[in-house]
Amino acid sequence: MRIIDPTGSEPPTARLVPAPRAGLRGARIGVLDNGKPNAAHVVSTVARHLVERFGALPPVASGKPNSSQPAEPVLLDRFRDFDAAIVGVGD
Amino acid sequence: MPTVLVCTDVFLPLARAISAQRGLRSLAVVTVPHPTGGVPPEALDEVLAAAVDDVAAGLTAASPVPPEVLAVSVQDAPEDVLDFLELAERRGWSDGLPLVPPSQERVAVGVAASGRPAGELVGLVPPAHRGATVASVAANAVMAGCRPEVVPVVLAAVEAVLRPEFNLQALTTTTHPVTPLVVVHGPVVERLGFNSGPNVFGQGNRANAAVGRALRLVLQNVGQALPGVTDRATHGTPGKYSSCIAVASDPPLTSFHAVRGGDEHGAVTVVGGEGPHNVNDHGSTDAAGLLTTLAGALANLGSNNVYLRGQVLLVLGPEHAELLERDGYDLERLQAAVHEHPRARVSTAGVSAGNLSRYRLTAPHVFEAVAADATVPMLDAPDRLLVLVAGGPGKHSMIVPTFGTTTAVTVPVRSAPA
Repeated sequence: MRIIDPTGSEPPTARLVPAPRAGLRGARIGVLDNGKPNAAHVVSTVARHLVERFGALPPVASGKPNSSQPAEPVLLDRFRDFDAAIVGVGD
Repeated sequence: MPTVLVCTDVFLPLARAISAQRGLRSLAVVTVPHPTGGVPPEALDEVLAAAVDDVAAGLTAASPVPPEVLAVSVQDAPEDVLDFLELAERRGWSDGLPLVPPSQERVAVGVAASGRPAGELVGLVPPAHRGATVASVAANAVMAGCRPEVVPVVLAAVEAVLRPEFNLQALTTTTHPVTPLVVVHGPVVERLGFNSGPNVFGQGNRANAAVGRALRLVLQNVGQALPGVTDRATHGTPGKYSSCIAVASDPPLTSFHAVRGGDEHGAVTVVGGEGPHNVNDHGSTDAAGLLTTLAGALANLGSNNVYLRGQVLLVLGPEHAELLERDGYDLERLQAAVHEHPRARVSTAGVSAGNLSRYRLTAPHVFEAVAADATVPMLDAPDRLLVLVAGGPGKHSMIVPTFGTTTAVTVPVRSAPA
């Protein structure tokens, strides 16, 4: 029997491969609080360690008040100004 | 820009899926033990310090791009139905119940009933953002047990859930027990034999059961919302097998089809809802009494609507609707009466300090200035209460709380050219 695949077509999304940095000294790091409990603590603590141990610049924090809503374009645009970013998924 | 995604270990499959959806299959992901919520922040510090080397490595080293496997649109499958079920289960196409094999011939009949080209792209279904073509929607409709003539209804439901305001990405990946409730309304209900009467949320009608199930299969098979993997529901809900009701009689009280902008063929409205909760009122003999019961049942501290707000659906049983109509209520007056009712409020005395501080972030317009023992309205405005009439004889109505960050969407059912 020949069947129609019920999984549809491949996503058309372009493939992006970000170029890694040579190191983190002097890097401008953006951190995103996705609105989940403790998310701000998780990403800011990790970034603080990157400052202390790897010489990154003090992180700049952004946040979504509600984890179930996509980030506003204006918020995402702010990340263009950073060299690296730390974001999160989880509960 | 080099980016690291920090994720709790049990959410790793969802993190991978979201990365792939955004075209970042090589995104570095660093896991920490689950959970990060519900614990004092300082309790996380040790594992976060231990994760920092991996974060730094992720920002400074190229990650390998996982290989892609291209899907084939037509493929061989066993003739025997039980062998096909084994194949479907292995491929993750199954909701656990028996499926009808989507043979080329059966799918072609469903596609023809839609009057649309097989390869037409209906939209990209999150979280995988794979493309739902008319043929793949028809294939899932066949698998769900749909008669060919209801395929246009399934297509309308798929189009509706893909509108941005429905927020399907969040609905299919959340821990909350939510699923799209498909409401079919207008002339299509009678023409295709949907049930809008007794046991409307229950079993026994093929059109209701198969359309609701077909939409769920599209979300699972095209969107790759896989239970326990990318569908992160803590408990889920029985509606994730199928959730479809119909509105036929549509009395003047609600005029649901007209209010939702339905046309002469019929339409589908999708509501991102939890399971329905009964409102039992056998005792009230006037509208004032029934409104007290409805408002009291609406006020529910466990609901997402408390802190994410949004819409709530009220499904009035016909006898409750008759009582309200007899006492002079129309839709607008009913919505206002429920919204303003002193029982349609929740007390912050029943909310923990930790939860209240979260509510102040998600709904500052409601919670920012209130005391710890205040009452606040359940709804932001009268029209946040969607109202329809369905069900059979009896003194019951149903309240369907929603995900909150979602808006009901209506799409007309396109009939195939005669």
